[in-house]
Amino acid sequence: MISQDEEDGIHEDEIILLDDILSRSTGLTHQSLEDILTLTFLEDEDYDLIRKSLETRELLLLKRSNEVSTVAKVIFRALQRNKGIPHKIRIQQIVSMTDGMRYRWKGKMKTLTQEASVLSIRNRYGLDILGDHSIYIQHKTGNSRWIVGDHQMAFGFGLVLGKPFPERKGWSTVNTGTSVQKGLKGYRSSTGMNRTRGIAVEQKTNYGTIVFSQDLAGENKNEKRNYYRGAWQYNNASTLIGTVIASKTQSIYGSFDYGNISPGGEISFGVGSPSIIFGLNFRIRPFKYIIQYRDIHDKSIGKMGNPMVEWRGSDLSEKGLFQGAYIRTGKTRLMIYADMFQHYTREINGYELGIRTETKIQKHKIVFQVKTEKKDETNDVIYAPLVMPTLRKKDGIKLEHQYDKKTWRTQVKYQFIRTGEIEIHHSHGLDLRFQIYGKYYQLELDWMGAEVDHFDSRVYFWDVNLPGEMLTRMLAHSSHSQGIKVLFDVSNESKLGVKLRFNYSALSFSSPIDIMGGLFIKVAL
Amino acid sequence: MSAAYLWAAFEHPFLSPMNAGLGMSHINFNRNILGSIMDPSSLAMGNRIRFAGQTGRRFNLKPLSHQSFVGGIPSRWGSFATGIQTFGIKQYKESTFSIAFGRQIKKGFNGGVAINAYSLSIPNYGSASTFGISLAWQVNLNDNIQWGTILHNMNGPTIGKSEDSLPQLILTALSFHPTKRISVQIEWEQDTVFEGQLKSGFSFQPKTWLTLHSGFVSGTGQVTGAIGVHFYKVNINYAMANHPHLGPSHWMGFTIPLGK
Repeated sequence: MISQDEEDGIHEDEIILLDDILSRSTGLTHQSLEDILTLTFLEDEDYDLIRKSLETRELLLLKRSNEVSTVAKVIFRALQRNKGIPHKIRIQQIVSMTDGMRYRWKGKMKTLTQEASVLSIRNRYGLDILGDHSIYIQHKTGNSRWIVGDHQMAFGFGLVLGKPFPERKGWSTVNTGTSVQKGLKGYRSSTGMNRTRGIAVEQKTNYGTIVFSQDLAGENKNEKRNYYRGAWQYNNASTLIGTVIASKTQSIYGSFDYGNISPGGEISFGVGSPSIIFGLNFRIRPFKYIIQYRDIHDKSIGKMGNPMVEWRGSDLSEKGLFQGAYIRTGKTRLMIYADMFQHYTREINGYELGIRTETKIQKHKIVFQVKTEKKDETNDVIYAPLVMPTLRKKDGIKLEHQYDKKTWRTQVKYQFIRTGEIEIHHSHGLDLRFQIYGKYYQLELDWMGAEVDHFDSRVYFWDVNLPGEMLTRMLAHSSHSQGIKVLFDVSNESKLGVKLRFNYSALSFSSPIDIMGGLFIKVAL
Repeated sequence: MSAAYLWAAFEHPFLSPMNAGLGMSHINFNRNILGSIMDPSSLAMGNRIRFAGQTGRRFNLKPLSHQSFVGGIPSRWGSFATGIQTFGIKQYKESTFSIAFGRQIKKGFNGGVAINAYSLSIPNYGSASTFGISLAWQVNLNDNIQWGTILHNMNGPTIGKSEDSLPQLILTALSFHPTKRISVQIEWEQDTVFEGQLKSGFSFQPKTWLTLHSGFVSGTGQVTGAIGVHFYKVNINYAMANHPHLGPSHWMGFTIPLGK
């Protein structure tokens, strides 16, 4: 149901966040709407409707609105359905068989004032069951809150303290580009990145919210030391300002709402040139526009900084200008984005441009998308001494048709990818999907195939995903693949899911097969 | 005195004959006391003192002999069990001493934890010991389906000067019982070092005093079977597993309730 470009996939952490929202028993509240706003894969109208609902505090209109997307309706219905149900303990297990076995366990216990959560992952070929784990206990009383264990701090636009997964650059940025990140939270990421392991305290006052965090970290036992971080944030109906202090970097940020115009930005200081993100969001229904400038230098970004950038890594150092626009005319939505960027150190220039239209006619949905990107040629060291040239030019066209009935749905997607300037490669891909929704079960059948000229022109399609997954399937050579997924509602809030995928190494049915699969179990008690 | 390397194994955990017959499954849905050391969450519903023992030989080889004894006692906080197992012969002996605890956490959700003390001794070489922690849970998904998971040795124990790692196992299983007398279970066992294997088991109780189990293990291609007889409050069990290349393995066991 989530209409996203496969190459612009949704990070697993965002799915964990969605799962957390869906499992709440508070119903549709102000807090849950604020958390839903942080999701990046909703339809554009959803963000406007939710913001309006938050401003006017009219939640009833939102619940009854026909303008919200199917995805948003599913989220609201799940919240309403779970309202008041005293599920205090939730356990989830996902087992994925994809070139090795990956296991993910999630457990959460929640009462009115306390929350405890455990997330543990054993990655493919990992030797330890508890290879990567996070655990925290949170306690709230009145205007204060403390967390012991793993937590994350994400403030401003992520220059000093950012989320574990970076902001995505694409069509969804039109809605999230000038929104500040959400502050202190218990840690629920599967990556282990930007995790603080220690104690954090938050206190709300009349002059804003103060957050303080202590972290004991280091490369090994003998090198551990204490790190301290703090933030202050004040907001009212139209203004949000704040400051972040970490050991080597500090920043100030703000986000303002002047009716149809919302500017926002952050400036961070460290060693050398400061880093800046500044953007302006203009909204007048049915039109939205964003422009955002960034000038990032690695010595003035926090160790846990994670802003929206083109390049990541230790030589993070770029400037860029991002623009995006959205307009709705009748039954068609048009989305455009463009990003121009330059890497200071590597001296690379590049741009990215995407245009996407979505048209809904009764039960039909037709999507047309064009994307082009180009960067100056450079060589990346993958595993020394192996050096690979970075892709210079890539163009892609996607065409999609979806037909929705109450109990079943079909989807057909076609992709064409062309890469290179002197040596040109191109690929064609096709994906057919059929879904049935029964009272206690869901069934999904999928076939995908591609004729791929070269690895550079590889094609991506969404895999059959169990709840809690948003995986894509890469077809890097001519081949095809079938997938099947079944989900059962075994009881109130408990689900069981199984998936299988048969990957053929060539386009023929007699070519060797590789089988992958997964198991999902979720329990609410 | 000389120092030398000890190569650890401890790949033969506590296994009751009836669970051996169910495709060598460790998730103890049928709640026998011998299986409660590996799956301490199965202790949760115990309401009487029990004592059990088993003996057996893997692949009918004397050096691969094993014996284990387990006693369980309920309390108002949950149920406790303690067990001892030996594997091998005098020239190479693995001993495990275990304490397990399980309780019902919420209706339909049982959890348990076990601590295993491992000791390895080889005459003229030396001995070494370590400990492992296991966590387990069982959940009733509905009236007919149960889910169980065991995380065995999740603390990543190592043993000896060479710090050999003991097996860390992830086991997860679903059990389906369409009627009171029939159940089917599928279990996935993953050693973090090796590829996983699928185990399936079928249980049938034609009479109240007679239980029959059969099973299959995908990784080794073993077919298993067990028979349990309930005789004057005592359970006597026998199980066999037939490896396609290494020959049969046998288990013989008993369980005695000692009161409430």
